[in-house]
Amino acid sequence: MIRLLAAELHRLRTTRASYGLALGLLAIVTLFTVGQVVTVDEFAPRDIGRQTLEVLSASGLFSFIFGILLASGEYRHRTISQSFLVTPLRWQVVLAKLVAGALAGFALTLAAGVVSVVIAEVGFAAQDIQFSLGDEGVARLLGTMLLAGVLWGALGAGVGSIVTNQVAAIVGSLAWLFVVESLLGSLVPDVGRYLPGVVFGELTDTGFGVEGGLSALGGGALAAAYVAVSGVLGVLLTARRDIT
Amino acid sequence: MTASFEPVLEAQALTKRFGSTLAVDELSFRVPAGTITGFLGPNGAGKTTTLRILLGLVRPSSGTATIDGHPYSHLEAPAGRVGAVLEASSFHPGRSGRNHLRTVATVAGLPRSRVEEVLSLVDLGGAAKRRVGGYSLGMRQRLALASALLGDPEVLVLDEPANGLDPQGIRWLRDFIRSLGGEGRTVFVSSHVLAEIAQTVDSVVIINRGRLVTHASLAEVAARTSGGVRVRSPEASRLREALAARGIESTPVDGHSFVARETTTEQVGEAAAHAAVVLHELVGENSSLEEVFLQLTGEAPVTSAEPGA
Repeated sequence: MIRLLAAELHRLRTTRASYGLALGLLAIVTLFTVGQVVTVDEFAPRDIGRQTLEVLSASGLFSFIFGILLASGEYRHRTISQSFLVTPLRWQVVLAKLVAGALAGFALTLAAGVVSVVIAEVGFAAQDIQFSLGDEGVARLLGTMLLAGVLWGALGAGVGSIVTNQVAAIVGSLAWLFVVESLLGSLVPDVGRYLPGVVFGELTDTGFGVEGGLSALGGGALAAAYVAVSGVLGVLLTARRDIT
Repeated sequence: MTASFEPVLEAQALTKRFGSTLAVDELSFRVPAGTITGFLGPNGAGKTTTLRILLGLVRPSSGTATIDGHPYSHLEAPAGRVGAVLEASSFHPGRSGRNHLRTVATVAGLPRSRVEEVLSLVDLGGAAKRRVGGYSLGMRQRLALASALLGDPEVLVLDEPANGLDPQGIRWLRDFIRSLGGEGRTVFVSSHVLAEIAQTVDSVVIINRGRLVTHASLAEVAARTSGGVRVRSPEASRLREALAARGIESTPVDGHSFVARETTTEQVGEAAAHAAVVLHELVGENSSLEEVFLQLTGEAPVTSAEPGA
């Protein structure tokens, strides 16, 4: 298992797409944080930390896509045969990908968080505005963002194990998150507040949640449950799949 | 390792359906240890599906496929037991050949030094740090072979390893497979062109439309090269009757020519003289192994009607 995980991480480290995705995320975070620092007047001072670090919810989406890529990429490049030849017990391969997705989500969010906080610290300090990592709100937000990154990354790996067509998995997921969920959310709010995208929002409490939604704890628990379900489905489907 | 009659690879009544398509149909064969066995059949005969079932990648609809008596998924440390080359294109194009092998070695728990060993074994050392996307087909095949050899397996399963190789590459591959066999390994290698592997294998398992056609030594297959005789005569039908009276079967090609089976030009010439039939052409056809293969798999007419064939 450790060897499988090491191989997954080696795969990620030696693939250019990993760095492309990470750089894309860091570019977005940098632009947004710089924008916040420059236009700081428009905020109520007490919300500075939250408003600034909200961009880190982008790292959730990036972690999710990263997870999809890492799980479905082996099907796209047809290297999955090789993986199953070396490890015929396929659940181990899927589990390694879930863990790798979680670690990648953590790493991406951490990198984005560091970039954002450093820019904010420096930028706000220059304007004599109080912003500190020590702030309880900021620290808590970073913590839940990291947890969300972990869960998003694992969820992506789960989804990528279920839908192995990379394009279908990504397009389908984005359509679900941004179209289906908002439709369901407005049409059937009682269902909408329990949908994955919403509960991940509740976990980080960044305004992507809905009125009357779950608490951060409840959201986190339900998000973890979604990850578990995607992982179990991924294992079951992968075990039965013909690799032709 | 000594050759024994214990089967290493075994298929028993193997059947696989993809929807309404019957890809493999009650296929049974055994590959003895220490032999090089060819796995032949035209494209779409079910070779790849059979190999993938043997390797645990595809689940059979019924029947069993075993390696050393066990399904692939029950093997401990399978990389050290069986090496497989499935398709040369199955590499991430952005990773280098060495990185690909290192990933496999990591999972299989093999030392990195082994990566360098197999790289030099397949003469790929010089290209190891280049991205696989830039490799030629021949280099990819070598990388696939290197990958299969990482665990130093006793059994090798190769699916169409000669596909897309130039003549030089095919010769290299042939020598390479022979040297693997010389080390006492069991090699099961598929091809849709008999000539590619005829000089390499001890015996062949021939399948067509998912069913076993024959499993025989190459010598036995060659013995079926019952030479045909192509005859052209203005009185073809009368000559055919005369031949039939002597127990020689024949197949018409067109109104004036036919092919007599399992006979010689001498016999046909004598029969023609006896029946006082004029001959315009009498050609002994040394059917090549390839033609026997085509006959066995029923993929082509018994003889070609092209002029000069």
